Amino acid sequence: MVKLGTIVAGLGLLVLLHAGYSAAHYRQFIVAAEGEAAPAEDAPPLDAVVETIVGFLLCVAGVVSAAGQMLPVRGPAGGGRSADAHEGLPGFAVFSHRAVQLRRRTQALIAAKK
Amino acid sequence: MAQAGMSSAAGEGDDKGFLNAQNLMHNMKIITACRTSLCAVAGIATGILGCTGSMGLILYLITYATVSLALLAKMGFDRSDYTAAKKDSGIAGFLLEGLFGLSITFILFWTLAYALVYVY
Repeated sequence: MVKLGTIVAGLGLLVLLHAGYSAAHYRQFIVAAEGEAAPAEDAPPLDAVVETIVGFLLCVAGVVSAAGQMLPVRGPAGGGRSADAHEGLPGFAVFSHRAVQLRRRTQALIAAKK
Repeated sequence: MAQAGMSSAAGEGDDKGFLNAQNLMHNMKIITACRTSLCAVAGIATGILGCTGSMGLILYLITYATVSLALLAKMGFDRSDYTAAKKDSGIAGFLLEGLFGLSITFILFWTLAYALVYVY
């Protein structure tokens, strides 16, 4: 499933591309009207400027929200260790226990019931 | 399972104890990736606007500060939770941090967009 932030960022890029296209188009108008290339100092029209800013802000919002969750860096004082020794200490990992027998008996019971 | 509840001791220590280096690296990766891609987008926007010279550099500073503000908002405006900054450190240092490294990216996309719109 695509993240909402990715969609917003893609939209922002599209808006930006559209603003660029309209700025280039504006310069072609000037060439057609005045018969020579537009001077490089000519700013694009106001709506293209606003569209550029809007596109950039959309991209910022989209990328920052789609970038993933930030994880906390400072845990509780003391390292957040749990007092439950059974989880981490390998000495408590028992391997020879009754599970083999238990499984055999359960399977036999299930088979007998059928 | 050995990781459960144990923070690694690498990274700068602060007054209380150790920083979780894994999470710190993860957060730094997010911040750098966001900044890089958004600097490229900012370059494209500056090129479309037709800025040259010093105006473009001013725009770089403004857009970089905007990107950093957005990242700060993502962190809830408290840097110390997610980066190695001290508690209650100001945001001013973060706003323009790392901008020299990304200036090349900005200039690349800036000249690209300017050439596409204004020269062709």
